Amino acid sequence: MNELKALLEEMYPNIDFDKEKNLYDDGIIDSVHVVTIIARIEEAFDIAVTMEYIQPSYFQSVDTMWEMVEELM
Amino acid sequence: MSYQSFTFLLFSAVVVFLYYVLPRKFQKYVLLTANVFFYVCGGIKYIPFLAATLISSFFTGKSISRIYEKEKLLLSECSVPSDKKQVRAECKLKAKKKLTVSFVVIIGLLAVCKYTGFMLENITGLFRIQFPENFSMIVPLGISFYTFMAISYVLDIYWKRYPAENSFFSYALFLTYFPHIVQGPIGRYNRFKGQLVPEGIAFDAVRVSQGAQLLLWGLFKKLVIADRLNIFVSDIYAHHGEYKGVILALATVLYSVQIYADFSGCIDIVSGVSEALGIKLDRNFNHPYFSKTIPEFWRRWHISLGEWFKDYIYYPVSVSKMVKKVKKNSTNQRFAELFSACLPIFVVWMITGIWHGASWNYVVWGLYYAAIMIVSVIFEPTGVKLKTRLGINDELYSWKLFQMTRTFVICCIGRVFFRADGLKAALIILKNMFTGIQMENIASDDLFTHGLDYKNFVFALVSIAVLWLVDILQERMSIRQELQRQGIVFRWLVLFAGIFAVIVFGIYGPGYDASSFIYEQF
Repeated sequence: MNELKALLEEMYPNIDFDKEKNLYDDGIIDSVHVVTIIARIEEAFDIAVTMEYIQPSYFQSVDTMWEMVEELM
Repeated sequence: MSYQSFTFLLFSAVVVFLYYVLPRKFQKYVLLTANVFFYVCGGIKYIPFLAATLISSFFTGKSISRIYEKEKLLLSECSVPSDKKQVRAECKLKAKKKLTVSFVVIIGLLAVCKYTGFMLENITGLFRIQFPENFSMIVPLGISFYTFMAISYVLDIYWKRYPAENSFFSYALFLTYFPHIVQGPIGRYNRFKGQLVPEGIAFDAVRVSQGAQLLLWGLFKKLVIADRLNIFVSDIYAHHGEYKGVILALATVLYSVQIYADFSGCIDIVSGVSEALGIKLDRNFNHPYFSKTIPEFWRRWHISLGEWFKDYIYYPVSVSKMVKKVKKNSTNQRFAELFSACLPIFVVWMITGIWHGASWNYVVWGLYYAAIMIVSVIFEPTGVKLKTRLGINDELYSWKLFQMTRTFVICCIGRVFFRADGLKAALIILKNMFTGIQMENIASDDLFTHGLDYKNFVFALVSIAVLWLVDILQERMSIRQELQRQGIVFRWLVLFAGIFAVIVFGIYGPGYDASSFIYEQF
């Protein structure tokens, strides 16, 4: 999970990923960010994010994104 | 039966009455009967089209769900990962075949009904082929809306977001639900179903009265504001060749207010009726003209359509094989990221334009927003740097006001394509708007010769101020909840003032025929 957190912090240095638990619902990230995050995650973890996972619930925090990565690995 | 008509009010009152008076186990039957009655009133000839979409999406959902159940069973029997992979691939292929057949029916009906005329018109122009004159297709009531709801249902099942509905009755209730079938909001089945509790919905006087308040506010927006502004806007746009400068700009600004009052007014009316029935429709507007950027505007205007495009077009295109291939083969990471962000935006806006209507106006309107969105994505980092260098504070009210005005102006330019009668007319209006001033058209009594006399014009402006004030208040609190906390005398006074305003100041036209809602045609 630390690898994912480091990747996100590198992409968005202004977001506090320890604190934010509702990234999508609070409007901190939007659909364009989601697409960019998916691209980076797919590259970093060598996975293919399928449509089942492209839902707000998987993009609310580092924890939920990691849950998705784990399921896809 | 138009949503702003007296017939609809009477119909809604009867439905709400029967819904709560009859035993709760009959509520679903009351609703389905109301749905069928409402749709038949719109035109019995539309029924086969709606039925085809309903049946196709329901049975496709069921068969895809069955495939996934079988997949689960087969996977539990597999121990080798390669076997599991094969089972998944086989099941996905079977589900995809079902989905494709269903889409041919659902999207095919929409395409044939809505776009045949447009295609024939263009083929005639291009190849000089003659088609029979007076050729026109049936465009079933609400086809753009119920088709999108059916697509979302089938795709959600295909993507395993929720299992298919077993009861045809419950699904039919959703797809034909009379408050959202004609103009949306484009509902999602999982959210709708969650509200239909098996034990039925109990009568709640507060909820019913709050629904009535919302309905009344919607009627005010539609009949007092939108229909009044429509008189002026229609006159100017019908004679656009005769004007230049400010009066065209004024008509366009007023059209922006008109379409907001019209569409959000309709949504308030249907949301009010639905709230009285204990079913909350998805939110469709969130004070869009307070948006600071165009992407924010589209997150606050026609929200259910924007969400639909995001979930069913934007994301699938973003993770499509083609986009992935370009990203993989590109040596420039920035280019690859921009391509993957911009291509889906372009596709979404092309389809959004075409969805709104079979006309080149809407295609250009879609391209206009695609260009703005793509430019905002490409220059986002430059914008951030520029803001930091200029020391602009995002929290400053003057900066926010500038951003809101800029967004509104961009929207107004887009509205010209939306409102003008043809692409040529839109281009003439834009050219004339920026190639002259003609202040005398608005600085003299001439202003009051376009259908709205002095009193009506002033009243329209006062009504817009009320709308603006209510929007500002709604940004900070729930007006209806606040009203609920007030004394009964005050509450009734407000209610009577609303009814009075709608009856006395509403525009009913000759012979009581209020103009139809703008979004009804889509």
